[in-house]
Amino acid sequence: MKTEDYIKRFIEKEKQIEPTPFLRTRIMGVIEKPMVKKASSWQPVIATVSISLIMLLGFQLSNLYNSSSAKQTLLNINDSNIEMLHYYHIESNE
Amino acid sequence: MKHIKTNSLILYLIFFKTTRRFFTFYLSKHTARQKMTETDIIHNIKNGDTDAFKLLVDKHQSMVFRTVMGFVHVKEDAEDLTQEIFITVFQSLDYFQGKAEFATWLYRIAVNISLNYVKKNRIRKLFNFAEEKLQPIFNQQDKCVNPEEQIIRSEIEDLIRKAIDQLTEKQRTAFILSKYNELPQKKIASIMQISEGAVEQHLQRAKIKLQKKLSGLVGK
Repeated sequence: MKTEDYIKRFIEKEKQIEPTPFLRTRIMGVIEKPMVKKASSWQPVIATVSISLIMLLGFQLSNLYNSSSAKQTLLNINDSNIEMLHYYHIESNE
Repeated sequence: MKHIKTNSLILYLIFFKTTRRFFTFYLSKHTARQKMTETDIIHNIKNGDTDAFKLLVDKHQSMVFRTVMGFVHVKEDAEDLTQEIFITVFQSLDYFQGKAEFATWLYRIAVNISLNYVKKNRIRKLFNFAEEKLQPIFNQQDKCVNPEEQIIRSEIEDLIRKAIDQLTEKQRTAFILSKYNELPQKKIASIMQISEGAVEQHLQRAKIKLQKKLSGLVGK
């Protein structure tokens, strides 16, 4: 058998393969389905940036909270001068 | 009693007439659809009649499938690609101006999508071939052919497939359109947007290349 005959036989064999009878239904099914909008390539970038921003904002807020509470502690420590503790010295008030 | 009989007869007549009218209307619409030219079908689809696309699919699906088979050689992949091609055609139908024949435009899309697919799926193809090669050996349905002969046959087919796949893009396209779709050189030239002489040259080179690659193994 010649090379050409082998090629011919191979092509004929492939030509005899038929697509599934449901191919048209499959195609029409996709076409008639409402198109879902593809997500843009910027979407993950925007998501990452916004998550980072939220995290940064969170850190900043927590820092703010820490500094104010520290001041409050200091005040609490030093509030002895505000209270008139000598008032409770019974001996001196008698 | 007589009164009831007349009433039922009238009802029957009304029912019969309505059914006949409905079928006549449906059949006339169906035949009109069948008689529509390709330009009318495309015009209707552009105007929102999605259902008319069925007619285009029916008319061209086997030709598109055959072209794709020439590029991918695997039935399931060819079906998926045929589906992709028709969806692309539907989505870009607004760009079709009717300057070229619809079939030519469709062939062009089919060839481009197939070539892109082949470029992207070179590695996956190797696995497919291995699976395809082993399948006939394990699931022998043809009892007349002995396993050795079957292996030799599948080896030869594999070599031919590889030889076709190793052709250049243009040689391969011209070869597939000519051998798988039996298109004349003029049509191939308009699909590939090259001259008829160039098509002839690509076909000749493809033939020589295939013979060179297969001569040692198959025998001239």
